[in-house]
Amino acid sequence: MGNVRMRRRSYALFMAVGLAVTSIGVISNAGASTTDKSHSAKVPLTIYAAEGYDSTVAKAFQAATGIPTTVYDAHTGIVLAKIQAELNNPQWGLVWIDGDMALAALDNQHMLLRGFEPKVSWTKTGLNFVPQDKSYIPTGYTVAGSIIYNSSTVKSPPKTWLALESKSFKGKFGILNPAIDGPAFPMVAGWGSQFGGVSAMEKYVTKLMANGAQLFNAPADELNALKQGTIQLAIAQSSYGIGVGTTNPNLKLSYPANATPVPSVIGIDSKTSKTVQSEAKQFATFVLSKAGQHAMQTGDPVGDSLYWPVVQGVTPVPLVPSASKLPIKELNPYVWGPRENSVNSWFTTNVAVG
Amino acid sequence: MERSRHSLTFEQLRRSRLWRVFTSVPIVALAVVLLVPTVCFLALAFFPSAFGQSLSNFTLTPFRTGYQSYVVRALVNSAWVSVFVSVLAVSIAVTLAWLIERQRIAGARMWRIGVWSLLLVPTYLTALGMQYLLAPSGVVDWATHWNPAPLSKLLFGPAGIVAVLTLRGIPFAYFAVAGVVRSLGRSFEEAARVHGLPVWRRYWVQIGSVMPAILAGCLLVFAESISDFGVASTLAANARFPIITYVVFLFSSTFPVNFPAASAVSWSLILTFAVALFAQAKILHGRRYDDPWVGVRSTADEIETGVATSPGSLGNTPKWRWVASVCVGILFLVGLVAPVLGITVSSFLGGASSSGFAAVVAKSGLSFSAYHQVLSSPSLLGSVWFSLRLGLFGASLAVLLGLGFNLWTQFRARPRLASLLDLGLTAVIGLPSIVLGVGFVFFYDLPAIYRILPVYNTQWLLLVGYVVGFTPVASRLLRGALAQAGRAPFDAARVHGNGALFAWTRTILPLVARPMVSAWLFLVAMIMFELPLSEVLHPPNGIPVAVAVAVVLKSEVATGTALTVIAIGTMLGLLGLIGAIQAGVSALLRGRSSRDAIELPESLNPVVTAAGAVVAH
Repeated sequence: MGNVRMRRRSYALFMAVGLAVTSIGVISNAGASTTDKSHSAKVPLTIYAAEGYDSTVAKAFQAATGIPTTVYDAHTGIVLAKIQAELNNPQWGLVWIDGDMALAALDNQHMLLRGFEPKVSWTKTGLNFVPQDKSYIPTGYTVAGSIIYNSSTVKSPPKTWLALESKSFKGKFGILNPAIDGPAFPMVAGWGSQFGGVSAMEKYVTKLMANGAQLFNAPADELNALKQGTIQLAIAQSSYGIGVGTTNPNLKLSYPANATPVPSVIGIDSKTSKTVQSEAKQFATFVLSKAGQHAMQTGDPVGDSLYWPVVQGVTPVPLVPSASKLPIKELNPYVWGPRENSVNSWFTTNVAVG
Repeated sequence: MERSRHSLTFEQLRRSRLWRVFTSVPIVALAVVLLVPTVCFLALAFFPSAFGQSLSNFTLTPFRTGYQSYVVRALVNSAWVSVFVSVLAVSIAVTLAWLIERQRIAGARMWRIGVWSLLLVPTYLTALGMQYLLAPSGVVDWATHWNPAPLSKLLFGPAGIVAVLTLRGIPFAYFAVAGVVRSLGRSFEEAARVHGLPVWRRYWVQIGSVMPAILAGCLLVFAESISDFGVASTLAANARFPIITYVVFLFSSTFPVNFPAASAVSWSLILTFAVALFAQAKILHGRRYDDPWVGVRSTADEIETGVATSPGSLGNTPKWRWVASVCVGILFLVGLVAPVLGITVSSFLGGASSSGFAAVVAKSGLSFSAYHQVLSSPSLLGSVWFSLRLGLFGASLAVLLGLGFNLWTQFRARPRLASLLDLGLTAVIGLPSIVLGVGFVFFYDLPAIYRILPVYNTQWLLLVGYVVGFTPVASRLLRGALAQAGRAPFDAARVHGNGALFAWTRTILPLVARPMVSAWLFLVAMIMFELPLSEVLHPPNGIPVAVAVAVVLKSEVATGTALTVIAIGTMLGLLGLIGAIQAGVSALLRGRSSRDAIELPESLNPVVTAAGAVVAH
């Protein structure tokens, strides 16, 4: 009996010491990283971003300027939700996402710093993306609604959006939920612009769903369904299409007429300190420099790096086709941005869970 | 004389109401700190302007905008799925407990570890594993050239959702009933035999006698199911089968963001959970479940030799035990081995820059390149270490807080206050993690709070989130062990003149040390694979492994599953290490190194017994 008690006491003592050592070790380890930060001389720049290359570019920027830069990376919906939750006390200095319409909506809420434009030579398309009040900065662009198809089963991909209503594609294609996937909204907005307004777009989406369209929350889920053979065509952002083509030669990309381009854009917090705003301006300028563009083009080689540049003198990576052949039609973000809430609400109610 | 008067005064003070209130302040303050962020988020539905979300001071508009037809449908779906899952999981768990704990079927010890392992696999991993297994060009297709499309279709619907949630619920229900089933006496069975009841009625009488534990298990499974986000974000989302946690996600993390509506919808979860608690109390009220033949309870030896079950019982024949063992094996094959196999094989089916399924389509062979990619990426490997660190620290704190809360309720608290706080902590289990997470964002980013406690956007906030989320679980896990230990040894030590701390550490701690370690290991695993809270609260430049897996899976399935396998391997390594240390220490103390080394799984027993006793409370 005495031995049992002795063993139990020793065991308890051993476990207590173990727990204490573990906790102290973890605390000291965690504390070390925070101590390092507090000794830094410059103000940290916090970036909220939803780009595959954001961390690579941030590292290159920090190396080039010495400004400590941290990146909160999540999908576009969560990034925008976090910004919205922080309305009382914003913690971000700069936001970087795909979609000028979302930033136009933030601009309408006076959340973005206006009047800043890096001194660069824009391409013609790039210049079109620069807003009049200069509240955000384009850094590249992709096509929101391209069609990725399995060429072994689909010999003739649709050349127009209306072709998706035909019986030959019934139940064979997938679309993305614009309430969750940021770049999907410009695609839906493009349908609205092309077919004559929001209600026409709603009718078109309803027809697509009636024709067996499958709805996905994220491009990855959609592309997996394409690879698995659940669907034959996936409507998604061009960078995903080009990227997935490198892994499977059967997967090819086509651009229906009037496809909507979607720029990656940087916005600077209007409520943050002047110092952080100044650093954010340096960051935007760096992104459009040769070094910044190189970091963008290498940060996510089979994903977001597959974009078309908006500054002269920078060529896209070899996998990306020539921009001159793209049948794109730009939209006014200040017309379609404010409609994003109502369109996405309709989508959620009638399509996503309907 | 002067001294004794002084000690008398102190003793009087110690026994006074003022002293009790004074000593209760820290634990009440702690509970308030734990619960306030959640309360903040729930208050958002009524006072959105306080959090910068609207100009109205007091409004009920979020309830009008929140409760649209599909939200009501989602609530109904969640309610029936959770009730169905509770009944199913508890039925399976009671059967399992009967077979493993009472009839000791072949491989009982292994099956007990299997139940524990079910707890370690989060629902989103089970769902993903099943998905990869049954996909048209997935693992089954690759291995057998048979396309399991009908099964895949079933998986992406209510049947798949119920199946995955049931697999998750089984261990919770098992822990609730195992201890009670194990120690169930023969009195009920013998009384039933005397009255000439058929075999099935005899079993039914015995099951009825453990009704409190069964209901407690139902409640736990219900809470887990209705608050689960893993299935909601994978199977349910793709199946367009709305459930309430996904609706909360839609309101709080997609465009347009509507936090007040998310808060309004969360109230329905609180109410649903309150109804479940009320139903449990109502069923148990005014009934007696204690065994009148207290002295005839089964002992471990009786169970071991089969004496605990009567000679005519079905379970006494060796043939039946083997049949039962095979059935249990099939359950674990489907519920545990299949998803883990799906994830593991998928991790070997990809090139460095391709996804698993791209390789499957191309019919290439197995490859280690996904592992090479993970091992050569400091950020991916760093996420495993980051989560393990948070898991170790978070689980330690949660266990200590859970222990503190239990000791307070056992030694100090007024019963009503203790029940109230316990109810609050239990409600935290029934709330989706995403609600907790968003509550934390709002509370800790309030300018007044941020000025005093600038933890927002740091790993500390994520840690606090884990501690808040898992302290109620730790509290529940430890309560049974503490209740079993009782306070008699402590009181005896006090009578012999020992101080409170010394008396407790010498008498009670040795009895609860093993359950504490088991609960701690369980929480480390839970924290390591926690997704929704991690996604909302992770700091810039610090990505937990669950988030890293979710991000990588978007573009590279093989790399994502390889990272998952490495994370699971790390956790199993930790389990093995702690188990080996425990066995080593035990062997050292007992001087029987060789036999104890193979008793490692017994280290998991206390948590089973403890949890069983606890939840039956």
